[in-house]
Amino acid sequence: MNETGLRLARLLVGLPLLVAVLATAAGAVAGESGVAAEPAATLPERIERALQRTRGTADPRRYAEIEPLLQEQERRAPNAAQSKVLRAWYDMSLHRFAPALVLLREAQALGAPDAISLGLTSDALVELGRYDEAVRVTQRMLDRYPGLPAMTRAAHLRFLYNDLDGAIELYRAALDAPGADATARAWVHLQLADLHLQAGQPAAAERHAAAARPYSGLAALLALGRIRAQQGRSAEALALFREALRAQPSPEYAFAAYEVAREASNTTEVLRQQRLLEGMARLDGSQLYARIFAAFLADLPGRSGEAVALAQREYETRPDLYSHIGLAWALYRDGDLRGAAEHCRAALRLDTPDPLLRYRGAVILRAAGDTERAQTLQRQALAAQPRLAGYEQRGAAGSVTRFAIQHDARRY
Amino acid sequence: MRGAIRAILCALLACGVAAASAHPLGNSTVNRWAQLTVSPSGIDIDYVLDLAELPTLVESAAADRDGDGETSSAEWSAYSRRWALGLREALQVQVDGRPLALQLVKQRWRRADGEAGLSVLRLEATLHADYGDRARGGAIEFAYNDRTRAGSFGWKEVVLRATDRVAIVQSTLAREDRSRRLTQYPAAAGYSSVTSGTARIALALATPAAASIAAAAAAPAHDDAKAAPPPSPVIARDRQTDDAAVASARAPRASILASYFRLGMHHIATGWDHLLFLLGLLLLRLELRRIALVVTAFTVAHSLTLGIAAAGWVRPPAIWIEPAIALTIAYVGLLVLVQRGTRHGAVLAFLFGLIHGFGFAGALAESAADHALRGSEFLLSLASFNLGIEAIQLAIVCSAVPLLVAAARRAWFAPAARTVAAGLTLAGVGVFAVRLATA
Repeated sequence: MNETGLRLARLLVGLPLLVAVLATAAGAVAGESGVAAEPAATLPERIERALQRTRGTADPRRYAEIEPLLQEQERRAPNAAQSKVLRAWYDMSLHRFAPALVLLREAQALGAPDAISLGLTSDALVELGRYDEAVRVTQRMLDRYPGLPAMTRAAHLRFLYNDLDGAIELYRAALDAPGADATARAWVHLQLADLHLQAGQPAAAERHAAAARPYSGLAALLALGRIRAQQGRSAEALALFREALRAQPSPEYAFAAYEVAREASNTTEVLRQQRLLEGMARLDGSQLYARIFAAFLADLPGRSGEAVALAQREYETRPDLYSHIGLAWALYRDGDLRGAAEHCRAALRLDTPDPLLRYRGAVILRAAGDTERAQTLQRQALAAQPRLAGYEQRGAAGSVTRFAIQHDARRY
Repeated sequence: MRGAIRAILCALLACGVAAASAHPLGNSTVNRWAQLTVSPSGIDIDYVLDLAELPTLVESAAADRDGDGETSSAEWSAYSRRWALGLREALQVQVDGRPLALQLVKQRWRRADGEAGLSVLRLEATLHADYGDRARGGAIEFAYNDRTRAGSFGWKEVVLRATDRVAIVQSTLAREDRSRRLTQYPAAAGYSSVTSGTARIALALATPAAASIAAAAAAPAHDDAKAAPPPSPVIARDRQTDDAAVASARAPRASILASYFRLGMHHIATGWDHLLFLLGLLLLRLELRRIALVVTAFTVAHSLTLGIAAAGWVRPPAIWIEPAIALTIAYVGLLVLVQRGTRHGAVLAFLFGLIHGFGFAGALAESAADHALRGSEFLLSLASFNLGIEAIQLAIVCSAVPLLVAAARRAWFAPAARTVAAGLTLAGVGVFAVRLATA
């Protein structure tokens, strides 16, 4: 071997040696100092992850842990658009939509809006019931950032504006959007399942729920439970809701189980779910689930006053169609027909093809004397979901309320 | 008037919420902790499930069998027992690929006040599995998988411990109890999410007295323990029996030292990476004096870092050391290829021996920690472990060197040595890449 060859060989063997020594030294240092091997995330990334993780736990109190991170981000970059967007995202997670919208506008004024800020703006406008503005922002998002996030928001707006077929078409297109991962597609499948269910097509809904199940777990379980309920298979629906509840005790699952139990006149299960919902309501200090608890309390004898208070608060922070109908229903149960009719008309202003919204609207408007519109709404609602017939008479048994009052929760 | 009443109701509700203390991980979490204690005759599982307010509420509905809207102590006891019996199926323990049958030793439950007038629930169970005829001394491959409540949120922790006369050679499970049995959740640590793991365990010979551990010893009896159902399908032992068994399970010092000696032998005999490196060292220069020097340098160096790491002074993480060991193999192979006969073998053996010593240290350091060895006990265990390594190393060198020296006189030896060296290099690089990718 000549001299050059030898040098090359030495270089070749020297390099691994150097790497080995350096690796060992670095390892020793890292081991001593307790440095994690995991690559460090930036502060905004940590905030995003924390927001997503907390959302997954369904525990609003955990948001308090994110506040110090946000404050640190704002201290480091007080005027950065990213800081404002993250704060807006956090606010929206706590249902503070109006302040979030202000922050998002400020962020957009600092530079060209990105897809996240446009998406959040669209969401905030929808929650605030400012649908025409939401359409404009979403269209802008579609033009600038065409993709699954823009298409799904647009699809939801089509549904709100009574274009069910158009919404389904757009959600289907979103499934084929480039760059969408399996989890995002699963979420779209769940939206499609919901729309098909609203349209009275449980078979199609079931196909989409099945497609979503491997990637969306509990949400798919909830969708499947709703499908079983619509098919009249209430025992299966209850089993699915219970399974979801055991994994994640969310008021959404408890209320779904409660509604199915009421429909099936399963008194024991009604009692169980009522007890659960009462307990959950005690813990919902930030009232993130006020809409659900208002709907729950509105049908309980003697509790409609509490329902109105909750629904009113929900309406003040989130004046969308569903808050209008929730408040209308609570007021109707509380005997305030005039106020109920007013909010009912506001809820129905886009002619949204949601069977429950239409059915409740029909009941309220009939009571308020608008018989013709009530008949139309009832016909539309029952055509999609015949099981809604007699919904207003379900209510909870008197014994249920007595139960709630007589027992101390600590004994459970 | 109605508005005022509503406001008062809301204020009262808000006060109730504010005054109460929340579950540290949030009131919808289900937190679990399992400590697996490996003994010479079997495995004991100490299992704790800590349910925050909302899951407790959900389970209270399931526990309320008579549907009267109230979960009595008897109903909670029955529920707790059903839960504990269910663990026998939900927890999978395998030894050498075959499932072990778990038996329930004891279970208990405790309810405490939580937030907003609700309760929190703590369920505890102790289970035991015998190896039976599957392990009578020697090594076992052990796997654990917790299949309970797959989708629930909360802290999930598995801790692996060993009793006397048992050494954990290698494991993916933690030895440190981070949450102190779900009583002190580490601040700002996020959620631990470990529900499964594997381990390689070296066992001393089993004795009947060693079959039990102290997992259940600290638990005070529950208020309604009298209501516990008859113990026919489970092993029923009271606290005194457990304590006695633990006392008799204390192994003599000689037995501990023997188990560390065997552990050392086992580690080098099954540690093919160390053996490949040793082969490369031997091929560098086939002169007896040089070989003695090289082997001595390697022994001194790895003993040095083994001691340092086992004492806990420096513990470089395995994700750095394991790839570095692979590189040492590749380097020695390359050196045999391009510069056979080098006079720097001893220096090389010493430098790389330092790295290999950290590799040896993993098993010893953890086993020593498991046994809480201190002072002279620790030094003796370290020496036993190292002697085990050296015994096998010496046996290999003594067997291989005469053969290699004899073969070196043949014409085919040089190309054969180069082929082996190339193989070592390729193996080293390949293993380096794999270890880096899986680190």
